[in-house]
Amino acid sequence: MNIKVKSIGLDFYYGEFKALEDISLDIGENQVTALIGPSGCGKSTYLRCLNRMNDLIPGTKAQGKLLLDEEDIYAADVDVVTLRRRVGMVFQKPNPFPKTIFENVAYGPRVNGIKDKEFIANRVEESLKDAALWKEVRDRLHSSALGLSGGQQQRLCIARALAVEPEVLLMDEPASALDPIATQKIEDLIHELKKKLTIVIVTHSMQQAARVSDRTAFFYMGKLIEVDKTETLFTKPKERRTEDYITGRFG
Amino acid sequence: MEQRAYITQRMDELKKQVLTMAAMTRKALNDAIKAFLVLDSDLAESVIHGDVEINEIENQLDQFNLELLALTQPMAGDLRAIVGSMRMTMNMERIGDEAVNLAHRTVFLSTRPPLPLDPNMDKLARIAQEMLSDAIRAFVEGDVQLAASICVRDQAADDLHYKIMRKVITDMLDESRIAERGVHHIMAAKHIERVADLCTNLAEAVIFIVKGEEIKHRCQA
Repeated sequence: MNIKVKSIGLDFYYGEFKALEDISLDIGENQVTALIGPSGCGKSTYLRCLNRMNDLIPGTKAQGKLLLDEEDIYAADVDVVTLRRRVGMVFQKPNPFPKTIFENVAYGPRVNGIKDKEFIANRVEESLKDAALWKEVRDRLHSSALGLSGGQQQRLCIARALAVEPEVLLMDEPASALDPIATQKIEDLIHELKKKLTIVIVTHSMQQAARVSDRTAFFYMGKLIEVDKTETLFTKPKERRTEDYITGRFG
Repeated sequence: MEQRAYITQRMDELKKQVLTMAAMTRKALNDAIKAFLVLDSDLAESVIHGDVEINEIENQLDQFNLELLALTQPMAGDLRAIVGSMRMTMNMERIGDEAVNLAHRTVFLSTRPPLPLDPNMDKLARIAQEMLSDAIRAFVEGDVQLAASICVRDQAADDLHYKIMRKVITDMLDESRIAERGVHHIMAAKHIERVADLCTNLAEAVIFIVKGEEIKHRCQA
């Protein structure tokens, strides 16, 4: 397994509150890594460390090492805009801009300084294809994105993230607001996208983690309890707390 | 009912049903062996007729397990318990079939003059019975060491089966008129030896349920 992201003894604080404690975790390149655990366990906090989204919250502090391609994400000279281009993110609720479908996807390349219209049009098409949305929207690219269904809006947000060619895609419960068919499309998409990207997904659905991920990490009370190949973690966990959580004995 | 409490209740029910089937299987085997050793055709007939109940409970357990898988999407220990139970029921049903096969030999032999039994037959029968009883106990108590000891004992069953076969073949060469009964004796020993094999499968299932270790096909090694 080639390591794309590596955390070594990572602690994270919201003010005085230690939300993450001593997290050492390797995230494999072109793999899907699922983060599971009960609410408040730190999995979303960890996810948001990976592109420094937590910087937007006042009073937060990270200690330890978090490496992307062996470079420290939290180093003083890191440009967070560049970091967030390399490490894209999709959220729980689809959040398209109140613009056209085309403009939503073109937004990223534009703010990155690309002006060539043909290049942008090609990038929009490519991203929508990669997000498995092109066939459904190619005839209405200039309609409002808000007219799309929830599942389509979420795939549009994925297309928007893909348009800046990220290396890592963070997904924070990307299908929790979707019906089973839309969920399946997102999961199918994850299988396709991992050929090009490294994916880290937070999910409350253990079945979803089992279906989409190569490795699963179980967080509890700010600590990484266990990480293993997904098939091993869900059939033969080593830690009692993992077993208790995934069999519904607590959480 | 809260989901975990529901799953726990269903898992307890599964264990009870597996044990019910185990008790039926053990009775079928014990009766079939007893009938064979004393050539009791009535008892043998009861084993043959009773097999339908073992088949029926196997079907019920298959359905029960299928519903558990579909409705609770089990993980980890729950998942292993269900998969392991499915393996156990399949192997217990086969033990029931071997008991029936043995009973058929008894019914036939009871119509012929008795052939002296090789004392090893009694030993082989005892080993198979103990292996089954211990496999059930290992399942109840989650005793991995006991399960592992069952695997080891299979070799003794194989050796006895071979000795019985050699002895009966020698007897048949000496006295050809016993050939028909001799073949039935050899087949009877084979049925009992197969029970021992199937007991190692039960033991493997217990180890899988408790530890998640897959030792299929390596058990006797």
